Amino acid sequence: MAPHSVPLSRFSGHWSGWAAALLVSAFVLLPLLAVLWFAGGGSKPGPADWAALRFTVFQATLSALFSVLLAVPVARALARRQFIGRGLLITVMGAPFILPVIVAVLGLLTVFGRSGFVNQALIWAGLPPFQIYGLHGVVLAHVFFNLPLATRLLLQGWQGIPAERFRLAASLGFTPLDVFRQLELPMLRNTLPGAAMVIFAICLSSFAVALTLGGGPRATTVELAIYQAFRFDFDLGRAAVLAMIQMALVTLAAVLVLRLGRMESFGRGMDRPARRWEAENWPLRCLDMAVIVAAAVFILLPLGAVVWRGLPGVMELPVQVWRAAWVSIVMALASTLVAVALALALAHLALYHRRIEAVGLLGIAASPFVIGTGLFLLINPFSDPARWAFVVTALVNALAALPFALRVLIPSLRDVIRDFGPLADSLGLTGFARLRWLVLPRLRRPLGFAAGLAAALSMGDLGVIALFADPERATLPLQILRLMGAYRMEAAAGAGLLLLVLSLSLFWLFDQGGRRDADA
Amino acid sequence: MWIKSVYGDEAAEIWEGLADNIVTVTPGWSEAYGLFLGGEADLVLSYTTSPAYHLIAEDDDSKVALPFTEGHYMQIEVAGILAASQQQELADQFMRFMISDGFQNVIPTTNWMYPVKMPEAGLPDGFSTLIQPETAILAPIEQADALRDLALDEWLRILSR
Repeated sequence: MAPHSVPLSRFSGHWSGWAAALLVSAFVLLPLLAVLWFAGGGSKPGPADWAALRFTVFQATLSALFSVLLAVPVARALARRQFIGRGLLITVMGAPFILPVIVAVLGLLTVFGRSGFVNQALIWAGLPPFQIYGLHGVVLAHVFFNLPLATRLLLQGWQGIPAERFRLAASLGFTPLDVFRQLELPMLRNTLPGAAMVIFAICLSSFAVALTLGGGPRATTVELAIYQAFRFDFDLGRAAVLAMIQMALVTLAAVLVLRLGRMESFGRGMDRPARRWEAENWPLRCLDMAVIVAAAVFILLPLGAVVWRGLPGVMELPVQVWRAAWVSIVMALASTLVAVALALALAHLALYHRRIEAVGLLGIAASPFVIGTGLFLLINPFSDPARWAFVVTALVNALAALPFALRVLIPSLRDVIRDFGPLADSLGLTGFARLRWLVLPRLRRPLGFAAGLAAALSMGDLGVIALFADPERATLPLQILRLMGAYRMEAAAGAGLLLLVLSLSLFWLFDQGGRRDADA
Repeated sequence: MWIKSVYGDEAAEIWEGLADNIVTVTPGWSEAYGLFLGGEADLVLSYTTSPAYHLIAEDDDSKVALPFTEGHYMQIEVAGILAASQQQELADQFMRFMISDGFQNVIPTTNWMYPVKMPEAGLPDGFSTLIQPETAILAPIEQADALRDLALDEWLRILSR
């Protein structure tokens, strides 16, 4: 499977890759086994659980398909247009992905909800109101969360096409359709399945969105069934079995997709900025602008609602919120470091053993309830679990960010090794020096993006801290939930805004760090 | 639990009748109350003391609790000491502090629920405007568990359709 014929022993990333794979698997599987052991074996899922499974797969498939298919025109428009504020738009559009679910859902409802903008406009126009609760609401919310991610992943694919290819296409007199068939379609065949896979995986374990916007128990997902097994029945055996089913599903999807995707690429370019001669005409320019405006409105309107709802509350944020914000930032940085290190090691290994990427998906496939409980059971005999809350949460958040970091890094790393590997080999550039002089500089942009994603995700994730934390060490998302629980909706909205700003700033810092003195 | 306690064997039919009036169900109270305040629903499952928060903290008297002639289900929040605790003495002291007047006095305006022991100063002003349910419903402790399983199954079965 090796993309080129370098003896394996000369490749630096190998042992670290296996170590990372082992670490991730152990961190996911051991807690699961602990829960099973504590429960004295699994118990059989009931008919309601199978119904939940069907609904879960159905909604996750729809959400993934819509997210990636809608992302194609958006990413293409962003790839072939330059305009003022483009970079800012790309950054800000990533925000839904990193918000705590309830904050984002409330923002979404300000636009699409019963008394939201859309319905007010419909009523004003004398049309029947739009009902968001149901399967379409779940899919709508998932597209809102994941369209920006899909767009970024595809945009990366577009940026992977060397500028010289477009130059050649132009000199051959290619029409936009020719460019699509010869250049863009092969690129999409490479990137679409992988993007769909991570979005499928994250939608699979969706829980609060599915329940809240699905309109109640009709929209039960497996993750919700796990929550029920914990919260109401305390049936740990059933929870563990359900978590295993969920993991099996993600692994299956990953294996299918990884077999489907191909390993080809466009070869090396001269890193010149791409100019798109074939698309330089007015109809296409208008089309692209329309697509960008539509996507921006869809993403930014609910975000604007989050900001607008949050502004009055920012002034009255209690001191705990600021403390929580600090904890969250430190935790996000720790998670980012772990996630990027793991991703880099695993990405190297995945060049030779593609299926290893499925290991990275385990982190979001395994239910946080099960992992959290399992870790509690594992730590409890030796030490006070509350003391480990910070470490455990940082690790779990890092695992949750791993699949995204991998998806960002693997295609780029593949190209780097194929294009420059032979030269590096002939120079005897191996080990740390190879990482320092070849891999890290060439990967700077995707690394920055991956680190930004990991940091922002970790900031916004409620994670397992809810199971462990004491009031002193609460993270910002947990603090938001606590404020809401104490009727302080305004302060909660303010804290949500603070979280949005902090997450985006972290994301922007890393992402820009990766793009410094590179072209857009 | 209220529906099951009040309607018993007819609970399923009641849920069937209610089903198409339910906007949504959320993971917890906070989310549902957030949606309610956001204007997503006209009614929310909450506490009879909820209007007191809006009245006292926000000077807003637009929220009211519906009185039920059948009575209201009670929610009692409890505190306890783990048998395995290594700090029995401290925990004991804290429990005593929890039922002291200073502690109970702030419960109505922080937890926004009734205190377990009436503070010397009485309840804050806004609380007198709240509905005062005649009957308090609480399933007997030895039956509560089984009743809850039954109620939950019924509710899930009907709302899953």
